[in-house]
Amino acid sequence: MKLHDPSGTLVAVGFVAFGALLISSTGTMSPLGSVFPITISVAMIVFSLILIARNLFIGMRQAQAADMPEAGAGAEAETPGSMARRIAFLILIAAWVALIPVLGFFVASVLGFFSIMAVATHERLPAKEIVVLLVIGLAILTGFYLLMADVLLIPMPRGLFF
Amino acid sequence: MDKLGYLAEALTPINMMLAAVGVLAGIVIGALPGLSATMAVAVLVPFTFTMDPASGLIVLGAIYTGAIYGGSYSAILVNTPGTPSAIATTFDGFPMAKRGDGALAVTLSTIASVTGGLVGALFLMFLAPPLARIALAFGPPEYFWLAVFGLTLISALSVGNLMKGLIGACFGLILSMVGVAVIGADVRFTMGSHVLLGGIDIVAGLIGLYCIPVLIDLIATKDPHLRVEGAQTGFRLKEAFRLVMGDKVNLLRSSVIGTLVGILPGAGGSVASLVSYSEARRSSKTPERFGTGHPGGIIATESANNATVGGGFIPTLVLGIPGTPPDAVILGALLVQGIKIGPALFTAQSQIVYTFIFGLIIGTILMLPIGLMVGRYAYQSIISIPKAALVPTIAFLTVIGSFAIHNNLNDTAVMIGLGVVGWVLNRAGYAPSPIVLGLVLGQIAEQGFVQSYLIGNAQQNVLGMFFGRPISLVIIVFSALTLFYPLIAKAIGAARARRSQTDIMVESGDGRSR
Repeated sequence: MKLHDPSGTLVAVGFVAFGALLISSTGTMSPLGSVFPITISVAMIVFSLILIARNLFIGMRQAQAADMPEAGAGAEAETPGSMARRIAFLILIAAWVALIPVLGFFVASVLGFFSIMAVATHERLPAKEIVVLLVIGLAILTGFYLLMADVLLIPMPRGLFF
Repeated sequence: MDKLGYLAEALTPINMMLAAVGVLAGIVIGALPGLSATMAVAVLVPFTFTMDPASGLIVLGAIYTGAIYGGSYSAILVNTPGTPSAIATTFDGFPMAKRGDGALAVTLSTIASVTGGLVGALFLMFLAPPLARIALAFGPPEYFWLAVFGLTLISALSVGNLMKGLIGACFGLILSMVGVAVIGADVRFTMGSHVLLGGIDIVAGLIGLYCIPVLIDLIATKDPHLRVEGAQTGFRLKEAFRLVMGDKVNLLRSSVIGTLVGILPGAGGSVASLVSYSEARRSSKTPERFGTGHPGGIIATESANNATVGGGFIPTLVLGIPGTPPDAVILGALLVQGIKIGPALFTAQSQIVYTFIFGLIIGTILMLPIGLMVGRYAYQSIISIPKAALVPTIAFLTVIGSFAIHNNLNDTAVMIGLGVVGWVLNRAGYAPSPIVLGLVLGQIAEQGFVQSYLIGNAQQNVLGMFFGRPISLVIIVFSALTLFYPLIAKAIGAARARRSQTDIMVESGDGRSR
């Protein structure tokens, strides 16, 4: 039997477990503080179970009528593009934020900004364009940094540098 | 007649210039996700102390109204609301920008914002004292039902899979409970970490859930962010006016909803725009087009959120209860200027009050030319900036914006974390909007629910507390209508079809009836 909407169903199973975990952690709360979390967690579990049951039912029906064209679940459609770039982006932005207290806001942002720019560049660029991009990037970073630090007077985190 | 004298006083060149600068500053700050209207007003309050009271207030009003409007740019062009009031603008604004209608969407949002702002300001000028009583008529049960009404929008947003929408909303509600509870002060779901003690900030959540998934998918492909071929630039003012005139009922209704919700302390622009979006969709002849880039969606949300500006000043000026967070800051500025808030304000210090209201109206009208210019510039730079520069710039804005909320990097970490969760869930078919809706409305709903329960329990009439109050009942009816409207509309449509079928048979008609 082929499961209908496998990723959606899997996430729903996760939500059931998550809801159960949340309910079990309300034991230490006061009755007033726990009434809303319990109600919402139960609702989440119920909705997830309905979704799982519905997907199993559709899967079974599809298995019975195997020659029927599959009704589009929609969610499974493989998103185009490079997964490596996606993961690289997530790692870089996380590293960017982690480095801010170490290096200071501006320096960490310069590193983060240009490394993400490198990941977002899909073809070889002529040297002139690279220079333009570097200048634009530095202008944006400096402009916003000065706006935040000197105009809006937000205390920017400092580390080894600024 | 007196009022005309106040108008002349507000119309001095220096006040006009201050209003223009205020609107421009507000638009820029509002357009940057993370920098909110409250912050814009709070940062610029000290500058106004050197001005005379009326000019100072005009600047603050202009900044506030500009910031609420500016939030729509990033909502339309980058799918990230610049302020929470613009959440619902992403529903139709971004799809419009994606198909090449970004310029039209920005112009529509400008016209709607100006109209909404004017309606709110006119209500403030003529009906402030009686309307302020509405604020007092709203108790905890009404707030609870108002939040529930906002949540019924889920049925509209989760086209195709209602269950996933409901699960997402529950997840959002759970996210809103993280931290110290509003009532009872329980520490909930912080996983033992002090980082989450203050809860998940709505703005950090917004940026994460909307913006990070866009960035993740943007970086993976070579395609441009917005479609440029066939995209019409320019103001497209005529077309926008035609669309707005064709939808004027929606425009006026949303402006009035915005004003009324603005009067309620604590509800604010996000609730107003969600409620008016929901109403616009319910009463539309083509509800299925909402969420796919329907101009009516932008008209509804943008007129409503700017109407909350005028509406919010009603309880602020009459009762001394700020309707929205920026109003609280402006209230402080008023006190510093030596203005005594209260029912007597409109008679005892009418000069300053009316000059201020006229200033607000002038600022709102100035928003039309300034907004169109800035909007055109913003749209053109978004479509012409190369992707290699756009992605890191948006990433930088998410980092700096989420940091600036509380000058705290924990919010930035939460933003990225939620962004990843949102992206994974989105891939499995769970859209971000219901989650955000839950996050935004969770606290209002819980506080209203627990307070109503406590009062009801003390009066030994819990059910009466929830279901026995007239305003509550009206909101409940509207919520039910919104939730079940698709079914009702289907039933009505089926009945009509049956009737016309009979007519055809009886009259052997011309077959025009569908």
